[in-house]
Amino acid sequence: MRKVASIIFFLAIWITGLSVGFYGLWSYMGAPGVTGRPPLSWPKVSVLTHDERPTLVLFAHPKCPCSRASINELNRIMAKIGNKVNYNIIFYRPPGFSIDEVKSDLWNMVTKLPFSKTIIDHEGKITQTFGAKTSGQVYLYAGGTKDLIFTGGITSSRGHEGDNLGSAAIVSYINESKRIEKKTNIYGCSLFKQQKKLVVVQ
Amino acid sequence: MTRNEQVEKFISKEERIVGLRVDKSFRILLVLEWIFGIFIAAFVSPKTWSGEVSSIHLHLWSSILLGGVIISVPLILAFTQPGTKISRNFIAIGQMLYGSLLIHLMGGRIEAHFYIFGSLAFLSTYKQWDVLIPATVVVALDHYVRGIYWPESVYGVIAGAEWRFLEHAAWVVFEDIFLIIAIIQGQKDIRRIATMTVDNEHLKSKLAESNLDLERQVSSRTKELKLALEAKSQFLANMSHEIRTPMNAVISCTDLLSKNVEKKENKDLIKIVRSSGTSLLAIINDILDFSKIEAKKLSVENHSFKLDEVFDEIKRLSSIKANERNLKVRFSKNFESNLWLWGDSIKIKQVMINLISNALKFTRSEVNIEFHQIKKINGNSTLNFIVRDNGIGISEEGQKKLFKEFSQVDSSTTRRFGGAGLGLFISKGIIEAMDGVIKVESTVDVGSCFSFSIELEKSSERDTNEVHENGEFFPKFEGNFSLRILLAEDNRINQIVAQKLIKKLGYEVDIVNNGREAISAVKTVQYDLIFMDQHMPLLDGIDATKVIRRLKIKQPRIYALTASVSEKDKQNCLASGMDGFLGKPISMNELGEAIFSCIKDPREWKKAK
Repeated sequence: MRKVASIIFFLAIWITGLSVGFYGLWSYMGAPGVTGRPPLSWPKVSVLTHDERPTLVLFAHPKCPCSRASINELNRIMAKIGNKVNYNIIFYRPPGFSIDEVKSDLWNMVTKLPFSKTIIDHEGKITQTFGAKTSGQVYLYAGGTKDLIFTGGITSSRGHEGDNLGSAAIVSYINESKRIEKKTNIYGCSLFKQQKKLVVVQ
Repeated sequence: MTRNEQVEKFISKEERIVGLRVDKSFRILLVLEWIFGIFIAAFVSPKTWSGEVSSIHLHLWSSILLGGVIISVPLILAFTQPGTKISRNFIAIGQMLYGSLLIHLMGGRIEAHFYIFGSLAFLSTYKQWDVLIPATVVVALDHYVRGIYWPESVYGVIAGAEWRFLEHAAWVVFEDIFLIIAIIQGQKDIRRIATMTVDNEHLKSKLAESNLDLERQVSSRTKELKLALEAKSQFLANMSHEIRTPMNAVISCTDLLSKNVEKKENKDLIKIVRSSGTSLLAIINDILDFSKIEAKKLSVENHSFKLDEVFDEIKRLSSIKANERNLKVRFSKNFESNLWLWGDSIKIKQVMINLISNALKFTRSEVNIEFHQIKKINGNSTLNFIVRDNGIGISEEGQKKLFKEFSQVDSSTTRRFGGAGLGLFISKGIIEAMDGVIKVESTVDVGSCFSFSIELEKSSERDTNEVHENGEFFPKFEGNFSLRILLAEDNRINQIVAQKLIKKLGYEVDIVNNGREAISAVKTVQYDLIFMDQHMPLLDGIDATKVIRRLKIKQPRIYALTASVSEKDKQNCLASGMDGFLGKPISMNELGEAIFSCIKDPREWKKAK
């Protein structure tokens, strides 16, 4: 009887531990980053390419591990829509980061992508122009009207590859001219040093 | 236990063995995958960033803490309850949970999902299909719960359908089906092996029972045979005793008679009687030796002897026998003079005489006798004794059965040459008891060569006892030494014979009929020497000796005088306190030796001689 009670006790502790652990992990993974106020029309930024085709801009923190999933997802998007879009990938250079630090593993991943233009945002001007706050935020502007079509993340959770709303929205718009989603949550590191404040975009 | 129960027991045992083995593997695997998870987290997402500031990524903490929690219970159970159902079920749950964590740590990569399928395959090595149930339930539940509360994390959509978890679980079930088929097939194989093993065990057990039964029967028969053999030996010993007693009288009386008879015709008749008696005694001795060899109780009594003396004695005896048959005997010796050896010279001589007698019996004209000494490095000497004759020879078939008991080359041999067919068997037994080799080489109509080789130690001891061939070497002691002699003997004839022989040596002897009378006698008269028969009514010689030895008197010398001449009889007599042992028929020589032993100063013996 005592043995059974001990087993149940330890089992309860185990299940509690598991529950707390997985809940914590899932909460963290499902906690989106801050979404800034995006310019609704294409801002005039000379260094970025924007022609008659729609333009996609992705902001990344050079050392954000979660953004590795975003880059992979972008790769998948490229496979689906090809060069129907101008791709601009902006690497924000945090203060104190050397160029070598910016040119991280993530940078190397990005440089291997086709069709894309990779830019280092030294003083964060471009980032601030677009109001990007979280690594992995994507902006998609229409080709003709240059209106904002979509903004948000292209992963389903922090650093988690796989089917997600953001990617589906971009592919759907480009290939089928359907707008299934305007905004999605962004899962990634904060681009700027700030107090952690998690805001869920509805 | 029925056959089916035994099969079930075997299967259960086998399952436990498999369970223990797989649990043991999982002990290692669980720890390794925990370390692997930490390594992956440290490699893929070591830190999280906020601008230029970094902190430890939650993935790293999760890999350490949550990973540790996941493997803890399965690991504890694998150590504390190995081979049990609870252990494997929790290991299954742990594996799936850890798989889930690992997928997260690896960024949800599709490749990471193969870990789940790999784990299921590993779990199937338990050869228990039910272990796949908790594993599958965990996967399905994970997808179901997340599909309900956080569909984007698994399906990439905001609103998931309740049934969609089935799509993912179905892949796991799909693998389960193959694994279950393989497991059931494996279980069938185990059952088949179990049935075969149980049947084999059953047969083995039957065989063992049968063997045991046979062993019992053999043991019982062996006991019976042993008893029969002992009875036979006892019978032979008794018969020997019974025959020796009258033979003692016959031979001793003929000895005594021969001294008093003058007429040649009568002397010849006495000679025939004595010769016949001696032959009969020889046969009895052969039968006794045979029974000892058969019962493996033949013992050799080693002592120091001079090879020259053996050679001389053999030469003398052989010459006498050869002269009787008008045959020629040639001797050759090839050994160092004054060579003293350690061995049983009596038995060696017995074999030599036996081989020579055979040669003399079968040769046509002559017999060659050779003594050879081969020195060994260890200081010992090998004695080779060879007897060659030019007789009828022995065929190869005959040679094969020559050393077997009761065997002569053919039955006509017995009729033509006599003998009981025991001589060579006994000779072989004696030589083998001395770790020697006896052999024969023969050619029909050319002759035979019998030989034996025995290794003997060189003796440093010099036995100075003189050997006396007959009573004539003994002078009369009367008047020289005053000895009181008592004879304890129940047989009237033996009393008369012994009395006459002792008288012939010059002494008077008092006679009593049993052990009790002997005790009474020693209490009243101070005897110097007692000749004690072993088997007597009322109190036998052994018990009487024991009583006498306890008496507070001047202890006499006591010699056994008995027809029971086995080694055991001799040992019993000596153990009771007797000083010597004389076998019947009594020889004057031995009586003389016994009397001589009572004379304390050997110089007086020489003077008397």
